[in-house]
Amino acid sequence: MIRNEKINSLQFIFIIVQLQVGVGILTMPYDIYNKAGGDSWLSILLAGLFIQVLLTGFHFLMKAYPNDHFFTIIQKVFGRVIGNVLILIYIMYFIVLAMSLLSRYASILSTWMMPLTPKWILISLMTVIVVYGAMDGLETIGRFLFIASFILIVYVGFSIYALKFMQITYVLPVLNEGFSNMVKGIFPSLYAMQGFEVVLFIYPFLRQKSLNAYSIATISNSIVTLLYTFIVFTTIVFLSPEEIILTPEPVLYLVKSFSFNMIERPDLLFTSIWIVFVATSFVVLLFILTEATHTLFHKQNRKWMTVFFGLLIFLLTLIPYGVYENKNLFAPVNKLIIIFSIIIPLMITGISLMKKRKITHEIH
Amino acid sequence: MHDKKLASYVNDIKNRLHHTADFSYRTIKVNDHTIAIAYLSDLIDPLSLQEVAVEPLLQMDKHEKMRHVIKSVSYTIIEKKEDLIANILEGHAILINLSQNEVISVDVEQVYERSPEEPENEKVIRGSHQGFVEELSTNINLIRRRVRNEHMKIEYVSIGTETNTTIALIYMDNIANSRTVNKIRRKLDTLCTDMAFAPGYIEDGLEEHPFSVFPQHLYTERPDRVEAHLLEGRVAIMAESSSDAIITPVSFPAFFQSPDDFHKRTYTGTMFRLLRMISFFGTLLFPALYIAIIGFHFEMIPNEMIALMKGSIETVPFPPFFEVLIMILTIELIREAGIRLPTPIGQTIGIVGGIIIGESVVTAGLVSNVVVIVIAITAIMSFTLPSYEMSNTIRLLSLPIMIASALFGFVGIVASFMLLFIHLCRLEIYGTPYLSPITPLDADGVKDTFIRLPSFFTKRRPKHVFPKEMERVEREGEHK
Repeated sequence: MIRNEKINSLQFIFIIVQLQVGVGILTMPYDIYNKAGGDSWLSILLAGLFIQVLLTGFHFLMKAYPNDHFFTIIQKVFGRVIGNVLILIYIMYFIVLAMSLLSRYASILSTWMMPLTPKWILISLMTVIVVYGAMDGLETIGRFLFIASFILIVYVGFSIYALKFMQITYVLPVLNEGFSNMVKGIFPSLYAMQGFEVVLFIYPFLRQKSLNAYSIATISNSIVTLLYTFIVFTTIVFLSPEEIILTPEPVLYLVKSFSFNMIERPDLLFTSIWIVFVATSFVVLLFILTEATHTLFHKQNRKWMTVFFGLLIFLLTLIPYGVYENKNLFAPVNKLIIIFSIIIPLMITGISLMKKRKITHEIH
Repeated sequence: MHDKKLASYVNDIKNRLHHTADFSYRTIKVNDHTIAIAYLSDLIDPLSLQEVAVEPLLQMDKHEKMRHVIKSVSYTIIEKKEDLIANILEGHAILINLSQNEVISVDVEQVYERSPEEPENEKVIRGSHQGFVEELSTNINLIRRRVRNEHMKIEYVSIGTETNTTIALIYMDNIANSRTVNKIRRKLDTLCTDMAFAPGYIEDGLEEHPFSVFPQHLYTERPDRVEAHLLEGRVAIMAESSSDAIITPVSFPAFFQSPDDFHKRTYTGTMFRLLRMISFFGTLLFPALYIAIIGFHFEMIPNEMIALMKGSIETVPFPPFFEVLIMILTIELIREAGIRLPTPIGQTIGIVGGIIIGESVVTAGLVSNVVVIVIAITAIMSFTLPSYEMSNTIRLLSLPIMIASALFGFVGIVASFMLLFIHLCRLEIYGTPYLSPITPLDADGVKDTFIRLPSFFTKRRPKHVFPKEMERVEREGEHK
């Protein structure tokens, strides 16, 4: 079942990190702030903790099926027919996810940098890059994502610079907004941190090393949680509460307010580098899609399947722009995450564990 | 009786060589035997033929065999006519004595070679100044003198259906990965060409990604470089009549190393290596950055500089892309013309092209001052790379990046760099990822690629070459 492709633990970490740090990194403080106010950074921490609990649940699933990824597990648990239907639903889910990613990318880029460039050109640019990156399979993706992760340092660097102008009173007193608001903030945090479920799709490709998939996923979850907490915290202490509510992309506003001796508008650099995160998320999504069809048909040419999915997503993303521009078209997509990356995987974990227990009972 | 047979024998050789004019033979009569000596007169050294074969044969006793009297360490007994022709073509003289039924060939080849001078394109300041020559045996001699080790192995392969060029495969049998060596051997065996135009044709045959822009094998004319790479488990391929060694499998950082670095102190060595890395990115980035800033993001320029920039580009009638393109073309033309012309004229071209054209093109207001600065710095940066192939590659690559930046500004630059890195991530040379040791990360490998730590830090060989023996020096008390 599992082919010869192998990735090492560092690549594994950064595949997860890069899928999670997608478009969301620019907009996430705004979404969370609307719910949790000054305690947003606590919400992120809580969300990270929640994901850690989920990962622990996945750990049992991974232990029960050490050589299968999520799609083959679905087939094994539900049988071929129901399993394949579920995989098809997942394929649609990931396509919608990729579409939402692309359309948010196009709209942010066109608002901030290239208002005159037609969106379909921006989208096709991204699609070409990503299809080329995903064609060769997980090894190339792992290598590329590792290199791309150096950009995270740039992001953290800019944010550290912002701390120079911070107003710590914006977050004080802690829990000012009340406990329930902080808990409500977990949902937008989870939307921003979507992608942790990818661990279920790539763990069998991990080269056998001293660390198992669970501990590596823990490391990557900590990286993402800390990074996001830091960025949200910086944004909140930098922008005043009145400002944040008005800025859908607070991170870009934050960078825009700086100017250095050499660079007058660092936000332009910042935004253009940000498209790397879009590409890295999209690459992993395409890989998962080709893995899904591989499970369905058993035999496939990954190159052409990647091209097919790339074209399909590209064309589907164009549709809303042909008739009318709807920023909120993909807003409900976030809610799907709860179903597809939390409820269903947990359900499957439960079922598979019960099945296993039954089998062991029958044996004894 | 024998004389007649001998005449027809020689005639046969003549026929096989199509009665070429430089074929000559003479017969000598010693004690009733008639001995014919056949050779290609332009390929042999007549003095040595006389000394090695003719003089001893004239003093030969009646019952002695020829092979016992000739004064040469290398002779072969010929049994087949095919071998005979091959030997003649290799500069051997064929001694034929049919009455004793003995045909042998003696190596008396005349070799014109230059002395092992320092290669023009790989100059160093410290360290050895030896370079390879066009004679394969001299080159192997140079390597063997550096690596006095019983494990250094040489294999000869003959390539080119018409030219029959000898190719030598050189590797350390105890270090080089046998799968890599087998793969290379198989590639060389299946290389189908009428002539082995070394090193280009051989490289074509060895390549796994022939349509990639990036060079996948390292060329070098320096024995010390070959030595260093052999000891890291790589394979060197050399051809007769070519002074280049092809080293494989190499990864990206190898194109940024110069033998000079190893003779420098750690800090300066590291500084120069990083300087070359910066040059690599600078060459790709600077022209594109200029186009993007002038064409799209003029607001990037800080206040203090705006007046300066504006003044310089105001009179320019072209869009920034064409401005840059004109200057790049000029520089490339000067470079190409400089190579073709003899050195004194080449220098003149450099002065005429560089100073006069650069100066007047700005005065005329066709391009801005800033472009001239940007392109000149870019050109200098590209020439700092120790590998000629890599420096050409990046100058070529800067063009598509410029186009992308003229179309999309910064986003175009980032997009093209993403494509570039994805491409680099995809490349693998005999299983060695092209970007190793950066990705997949190998902390040990970084010690001697991007930075240079003293040699006692690099106790292990690079992991991505998959050497048989990881430790450079087996430590005491450690046995496997």
